[in-house]
Amino acid sequence: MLHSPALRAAPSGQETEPRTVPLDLPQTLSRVRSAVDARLPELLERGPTAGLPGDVLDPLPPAARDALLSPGKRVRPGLVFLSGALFGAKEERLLDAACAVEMVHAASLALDDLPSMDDATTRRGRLALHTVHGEDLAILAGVTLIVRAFGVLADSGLSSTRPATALDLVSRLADASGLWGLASGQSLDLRTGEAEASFDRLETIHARKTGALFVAAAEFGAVLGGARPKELAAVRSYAKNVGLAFQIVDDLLERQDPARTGKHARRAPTPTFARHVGEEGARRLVRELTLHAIEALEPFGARAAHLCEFASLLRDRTA
Amino acid sequence: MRRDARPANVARVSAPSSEPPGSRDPVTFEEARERLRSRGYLDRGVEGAVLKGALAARNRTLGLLFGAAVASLFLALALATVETVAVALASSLAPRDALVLFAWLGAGALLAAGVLVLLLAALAWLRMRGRGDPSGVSTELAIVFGVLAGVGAVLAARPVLDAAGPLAALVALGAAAFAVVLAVRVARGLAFTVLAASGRAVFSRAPRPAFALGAALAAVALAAGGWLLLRRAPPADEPLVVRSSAARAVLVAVDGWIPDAVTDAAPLAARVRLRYRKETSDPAAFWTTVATGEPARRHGVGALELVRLDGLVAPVRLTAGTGWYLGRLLPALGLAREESVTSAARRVPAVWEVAHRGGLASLVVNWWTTWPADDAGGVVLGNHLFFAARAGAKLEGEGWPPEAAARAARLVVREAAHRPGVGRLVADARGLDAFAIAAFRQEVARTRPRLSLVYLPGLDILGAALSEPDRTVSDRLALATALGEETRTIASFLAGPDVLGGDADLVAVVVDRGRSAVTGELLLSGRLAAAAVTGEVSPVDLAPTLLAALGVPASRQTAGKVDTRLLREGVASDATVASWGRKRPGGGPALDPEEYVENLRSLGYLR
Repeated sequence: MLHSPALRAAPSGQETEPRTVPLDLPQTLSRVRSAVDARLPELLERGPTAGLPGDVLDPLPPAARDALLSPGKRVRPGLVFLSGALFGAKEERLLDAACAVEMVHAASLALDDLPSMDDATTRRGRLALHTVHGEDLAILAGVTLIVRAFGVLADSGLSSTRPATALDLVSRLADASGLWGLASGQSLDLRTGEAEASFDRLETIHARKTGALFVAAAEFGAVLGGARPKELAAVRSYAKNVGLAFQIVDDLLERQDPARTGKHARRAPTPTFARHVGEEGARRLVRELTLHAIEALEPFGARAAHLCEFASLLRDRTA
Repeated sequence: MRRDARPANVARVSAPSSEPPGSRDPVTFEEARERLRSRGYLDRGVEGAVLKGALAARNRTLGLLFGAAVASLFLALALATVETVAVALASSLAPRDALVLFAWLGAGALLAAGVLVLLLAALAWLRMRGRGDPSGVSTELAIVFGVLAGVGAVLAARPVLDAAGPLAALVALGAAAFAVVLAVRVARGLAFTVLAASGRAVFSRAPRPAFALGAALAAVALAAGGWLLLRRAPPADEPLVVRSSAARAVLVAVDGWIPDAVTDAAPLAARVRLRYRKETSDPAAFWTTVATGEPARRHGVGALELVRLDGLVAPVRLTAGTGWYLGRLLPALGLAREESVTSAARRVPAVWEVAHRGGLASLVVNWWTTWPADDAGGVVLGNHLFFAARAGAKLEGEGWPPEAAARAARLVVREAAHRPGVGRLVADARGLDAFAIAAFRQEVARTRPRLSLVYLPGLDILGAALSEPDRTVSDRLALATALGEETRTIASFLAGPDVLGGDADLVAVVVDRGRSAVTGELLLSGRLAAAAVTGEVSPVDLAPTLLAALGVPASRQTAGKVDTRLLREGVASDATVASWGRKRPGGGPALDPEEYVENLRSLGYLR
């Protein structure tokens, strides 16, 4: 169960008094979001070249910062924290890992929006990164964030986290980002037209574009909490089901009201599960996936209450 | 480094190239679900049957109904298991019969479980509405249901715990524990189903406490049962050393009402007259209590009736709450038929068997649960001998030793033709008493047994028939006349040399006032009887007291104790034994049960 004292260190200024009572989920997520939002710029600015005079002339840092700090729900960092809390991981160790996951996610959004890909003009209701900084800087910002994410994990292995554990995280994030994850999912998405959008193809795209990072986020928390292999498998199963449910809900929301997601893309959207099983069928799949995700946590009992509620929140969200 | 197989988070994600050639897309929701399942989703145990209904149904109502149906099945499984184990053990059923019984009881349990599940679902729904956070509702219901199931299971298994051996009791306890755990699981699952069907936004739960509670309840049930088991476990049989004595005791059971004026008359004057209160109005159960010193739940003859279900070789006892279903509903549907209790149903030795085991010559005539007769209890003239002899049937199993049965059979006048109507009843009732008295006198005169018992049911049979509302006036007149004559006959017998007017050292006459009465009277006479006693006497104490007067040690395990008030000072033996031993398993030849039942029915015992 998440408690406030560790997050109190976050420079959000929102917490002034020590608390010893468990927070409820919305409070917890809010505090995670604040902590992550505060830590992300710190991680971006800290480095061997930080403070050099030429920095002010380089347009890449602002682009990277814009890509990273655009408003978001911080779902994946939240998952890192909730998963870590399940195993009693120290919150200060979770923070940088959560930020690394968010960096990769932010990079993927910047790259997805490029004209050569989804060709999106807006993202989260704001102008897409490449429309503000140019396509070249958007590419560089995405690459920078990905590289920085691995750097953050490596740094943690040199300071607060055991090197072997840090390497473990690096390996998982690499899987989730590359040939078995985000990059592959986007590649398949780009090459999947209406005719090729079979049920299995859609599942593969969702599993890689969305599910892989969900799984990595949940695994990060579990690994940092010292989860045993069986526990790790349960958390992974939870994240896998939640990840797919999350994507189906995303698709449904976009189908209902394209403006609600704050994204406007010129490329025709990839067909969704609703094409195969109908909207009601898709909703039922979401319900089942969520319930199975919750069931996967049964071995943890009441300790997993926050993760269970988190799955429900993602299922029932409207934006 | 990573401790799980790599690449862990994508291991189950199929590459597009792995799609089977020609595989078509799912066209239904169910197909989509199966496809996802094959790709690593939906695989974490929610396939638990109770939830499946809620998840698979097209809408919440159907989901709830389906979940309730599956929950009913599981609950019925739990109920049927406990009942089957209890009834099968109480009835000493063979495994095959137990399986058939399980099917019968399962069908009945399904009805009861359906009602329980509906209540449970309603309770879950109400609890959920009554609180903002549904978390924990399933646990609360699991607690309630687990407690109820535990109490019910232990109550159902209690007859077995009380009277059966350690192994049988362990089996009963195991079944009870299984039922509790299953009930807890069903309650939790059903509550979960209700929650899922409700579509609540927040859906968190804490399943562990429910499981822990289930395990705790099962452990408590096992511990309680184990304690009962250890408390009741019969120690090894001890030698029954009888104090040397030449005393003779007689116990006459008069089932039926005798006017006080008759028993107050001089020929029936007794040294002691005490009232008693009955725990059961069933004649078989009550008179077996008198003969064994144990209450019905321990001696095993809980009721007069047994039931033979279609498909079962042996009849079953109506225990563990199955009476209405097995004894009423199924016979009414033509799926079962009644049978009457036999000596096989009695689980503890009767006084004549204890006396015989202690080396005392004993005689019992026409007592309940003496058919089929065997060599465990001295001279036994069974409670079917009269009918067998009258019908000219074989006497195998009707009495022991066979020559005694043959001697007694010669006292019966063969029936030329069935009398019609009430005349048949009167002839049977009075004929049965007359036969019992004559056989008793004959054997007492022959062997002078140290302990002799006779059961006279005529007055009860006639009295019960007279109280039936649909009797005609002429029938009532005939019955009343017969009652009067029978009363005089019995009074004469009681006053005669074989009972109160004889030289027996202790004579006990139990005048029970019939099956509809809740009280009766004990008359005691003879030189061993106390001079003056007031108050009441307990029927379970009669057998130990009678045996104590003959020098037989009292059984510490028997519920009945020696009532020293009833005996002259110094008469009762102080010696005790751990138990009087176990009753030998019943055996003997098989009488056509339908004939036996028909005889009892003709006497008004069975409906």
